[in-house]
Amino acid sequence: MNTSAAGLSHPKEEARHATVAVTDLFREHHLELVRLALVMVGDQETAEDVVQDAFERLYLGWNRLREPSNALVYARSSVINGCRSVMRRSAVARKHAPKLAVTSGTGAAGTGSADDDHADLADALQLLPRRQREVLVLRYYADLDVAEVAATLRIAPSAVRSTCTRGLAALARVLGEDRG
Amino acid sequence: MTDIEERLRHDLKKRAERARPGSIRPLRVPSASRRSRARYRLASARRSRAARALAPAAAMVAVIAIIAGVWMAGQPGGERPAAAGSSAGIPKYYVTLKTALRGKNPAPGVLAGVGPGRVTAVVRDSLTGAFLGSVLIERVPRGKSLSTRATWITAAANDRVFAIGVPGDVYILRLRSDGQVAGVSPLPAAVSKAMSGSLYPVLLSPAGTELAFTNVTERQLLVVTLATGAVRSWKARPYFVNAVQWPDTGNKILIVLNNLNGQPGQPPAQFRLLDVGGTGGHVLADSRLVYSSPFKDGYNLSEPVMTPNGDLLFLAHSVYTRGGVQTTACRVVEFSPGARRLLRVLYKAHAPSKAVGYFPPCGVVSVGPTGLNLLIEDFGYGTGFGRLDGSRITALPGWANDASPQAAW
Repeated sequence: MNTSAAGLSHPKEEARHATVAVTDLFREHHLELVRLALVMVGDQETAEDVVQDAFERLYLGWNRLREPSNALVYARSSVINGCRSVMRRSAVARKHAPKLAVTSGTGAAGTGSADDDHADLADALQLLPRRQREVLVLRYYADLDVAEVAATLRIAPSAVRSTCTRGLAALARVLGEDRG
Repeated sequence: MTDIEERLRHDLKKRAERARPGSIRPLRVPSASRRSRARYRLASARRSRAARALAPAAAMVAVIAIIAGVWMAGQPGGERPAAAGSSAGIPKYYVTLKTALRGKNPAPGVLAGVGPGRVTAVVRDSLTGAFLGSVLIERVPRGKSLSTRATWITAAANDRVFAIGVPGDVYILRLRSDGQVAGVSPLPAAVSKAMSGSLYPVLLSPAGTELAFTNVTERQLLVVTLATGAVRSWKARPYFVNAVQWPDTGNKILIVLNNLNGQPGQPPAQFRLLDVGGTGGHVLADSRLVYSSPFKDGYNLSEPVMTPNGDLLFLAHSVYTRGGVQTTACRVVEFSPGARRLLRVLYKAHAPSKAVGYFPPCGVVSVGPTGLNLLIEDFGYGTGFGRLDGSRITALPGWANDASPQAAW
């Protein structure tokens, strides 16, 4: 009887810990992660969906985390992966969408706010390859250092540095072409 | 940093700030998602068939748990609280009084005996039950009698300061942020003297800096500043006053005014929020009415507590149910003073009673800082101390049913 009781209490304790830990993480980093996703996908509703999915996965897989103290890194990776999926699908959707006449000023560039003189740089980011975009966002928006970006994207630090350099150069080229 | 790096940082920050804290939807149950969300999930899922079958239910449980936790832990007053029961947001520590005597148990949850013995406070982690420390509160000399009915413990809303009463003395137990005992000190003699004749419960202010209690004979409520010993008092005549709860809302104490003398035109009991920020006076002048009507369906009103939004009371009731066998019943109910109606029964237990009129202890013992986690006792009914978890009591982890219980968080 005692054994049975002990056996039942263990998973409950784990569930409690998971709830508390994910709740704390959510409370402290929800906004930050939504904003990260927003910068990546450009649409707040989709960003919220991505983050919701990330938290669901994190909660369900909490007991499988090798290092629960790194939960934020896992959550951030999960958000980035979710953003990748969204962008992959939207690329496919764009490819197969019927070609409609686009009124001047309503295209992608028009999503920037009218009061933002520099919105072109954030928009230009969307033209970069996925890896470069992710590295630049994590480096310059999330303010992660090279090691943290590497951990989030699961790539080598040297790859982060080189991708960042190439991304900035590509961004400069894109801007230069646009202005030229 | 180059110009383009600076501009990129600025632009991304500006883009991100379009998502403002108030504009973000809370986490939600997947089934309530919009179609875009459903499409997203369908396309992104790469799960096994079994996992796919289980995912909706598991995700629903997960999101509900997270939402409940976030609401409990993070919502300020004014929001309707989630149901009691989530472990999120519960106080980190709980303290029990362990009384060791040579005695017997005259009633459920009561130990009575004689010294030599000791009263010890034990600190445990609320989630894991892990032992964090213990400290001797008082030695009971040989031959001196003591009943745990006469001991009590109450917690400040900050979960770091506890007041402990044993016959003739009151002690303040302070915890460090990691739950270790920082120290125990007796109250100044003047404060202890002022407390003679007081009626339990004694309340601690949310920050643990003041004590509130009632002087039954003088029919007044007193508030003592622990650091200085300064006393402020509020008279209550012609009523009898009882301090019930010091919610985590600053200077307001939930009190009950009992109309035991039958003042004409007045209800038998008034629940009022007393502002103790001033220098003292009369309770009617410094308080506002919360609820004044007794239940009419046979409930005995006892041990009310208030949720942070001030709208709801959790009430513990003990009632007789007559028929064949004499039984007693304990109910913890949620009641809306605004709507003047019972919202729901949170907990219900029955116990046969051998003596007519005997009520096994049952009630809300302590409320977590958020007001949403109830520590309740049901000695004689079930497990003893526990957290209200859904509709049942989950025993506090690590708590030993040693028949000398007093607990607070």
